[in-house]
Amino acid sequence: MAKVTLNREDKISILGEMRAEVPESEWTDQERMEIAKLKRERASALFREKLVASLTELKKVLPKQGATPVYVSGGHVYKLGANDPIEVFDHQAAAPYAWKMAHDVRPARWSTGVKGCVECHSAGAPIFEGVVTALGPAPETEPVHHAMYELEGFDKQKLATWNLSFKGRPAFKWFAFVSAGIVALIVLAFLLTLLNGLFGLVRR
Amino acid sequence: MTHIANPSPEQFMLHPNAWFPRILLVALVAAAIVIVLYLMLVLVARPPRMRRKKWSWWETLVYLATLLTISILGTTSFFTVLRYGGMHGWWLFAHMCGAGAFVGMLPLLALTWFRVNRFGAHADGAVNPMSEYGPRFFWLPKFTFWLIVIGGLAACVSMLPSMLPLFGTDTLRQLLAIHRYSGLLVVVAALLHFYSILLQRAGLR
Repeated sequence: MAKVTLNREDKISILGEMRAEVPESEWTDQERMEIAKLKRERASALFREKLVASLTELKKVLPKQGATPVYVSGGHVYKLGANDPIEVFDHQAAAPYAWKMAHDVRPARWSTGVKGCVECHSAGAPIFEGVVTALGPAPETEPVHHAMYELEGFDKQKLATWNLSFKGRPAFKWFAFVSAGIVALIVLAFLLTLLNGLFGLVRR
Repeated sequence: MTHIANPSPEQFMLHPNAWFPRILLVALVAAAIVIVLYLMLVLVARPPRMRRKKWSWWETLVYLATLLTISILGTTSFFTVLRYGGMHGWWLFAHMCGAGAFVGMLPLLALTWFRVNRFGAHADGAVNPMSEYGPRFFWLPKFTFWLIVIGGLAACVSMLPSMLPLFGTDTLRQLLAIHRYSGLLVVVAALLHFYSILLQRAGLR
């Protein structure tokens, strides 16, 4: 939607005359970052130019009087502004577009939790604390970020408390198995005694 | 397994969890009716009062602690099932904490009380001793004691494998159904047990 190709002058303005002649594969990380930053800024400006033109044309053909055409992308809403050419704002209706793809299909051996409870129930576990960045067709300089637990509607404090409880979970399982074993033996003894009593009654 | 809101009676075995809220209400109402009817029966028939041995501090402590854990588990589960349709959030956390305590209390309860709760057992737990005291309990507390122990064991054993990566969704749902119904059995049995102990304390049995 807003693909940008930098010309020689643009590269010289960032890298200087000498380095601008060097092939891209020989740039340093710093140089790559600066070029990428310029591309993002140019793409954003180009996108806004196109958007102003599109929304202006769209407003002319909208049948409803006073209706405002908007563009939704990456969890943001764009509309023609009063002072700035484009105003960006958040709206509940745009929220579903903040995370368009949630279900990558994976084999069972890669599934979350296959390595144990703490794969999810521990601090920093990606299933709850992974950060989702909304990526729409519009080139965003400040894309919307959400932690997974926010999107899932979970309370952070509650998650931390659950994580804490899972630290003792393996020991609890052993304790519970031993406990159940003791009770099972007592129940077995009771049933055998009961059976013995019943046989005694029959014999009488 | 498909979740359905209103299964027909013929579908009970297929959807036991969907039936649980209704069966829970029926069980609690039935327990209340049994309590009232049995009280009326006792008041009319007036069975002879027996001299029973007093409980030691340890026996009392174990019994009350078990009742407390069952109350926590019953409240956190049944209230949320009836009010919200399921157990979530802090209710689930409280239920899990109560479950940890119950798992610890159940063997203590069984070890402390099993001798005197055998049918035919007298004051000190032996069968037919020469004792000045009568049996520690009449038939109702003995019967409900074993329901608590057996139901409690089923409730524990049905949840333990659910914490291990052994079963798929369908089996986990079936284990949850066993857990729910055995938990209901424990709560109703504990209610009747506590009631029968009150009857004994009041000298009505």
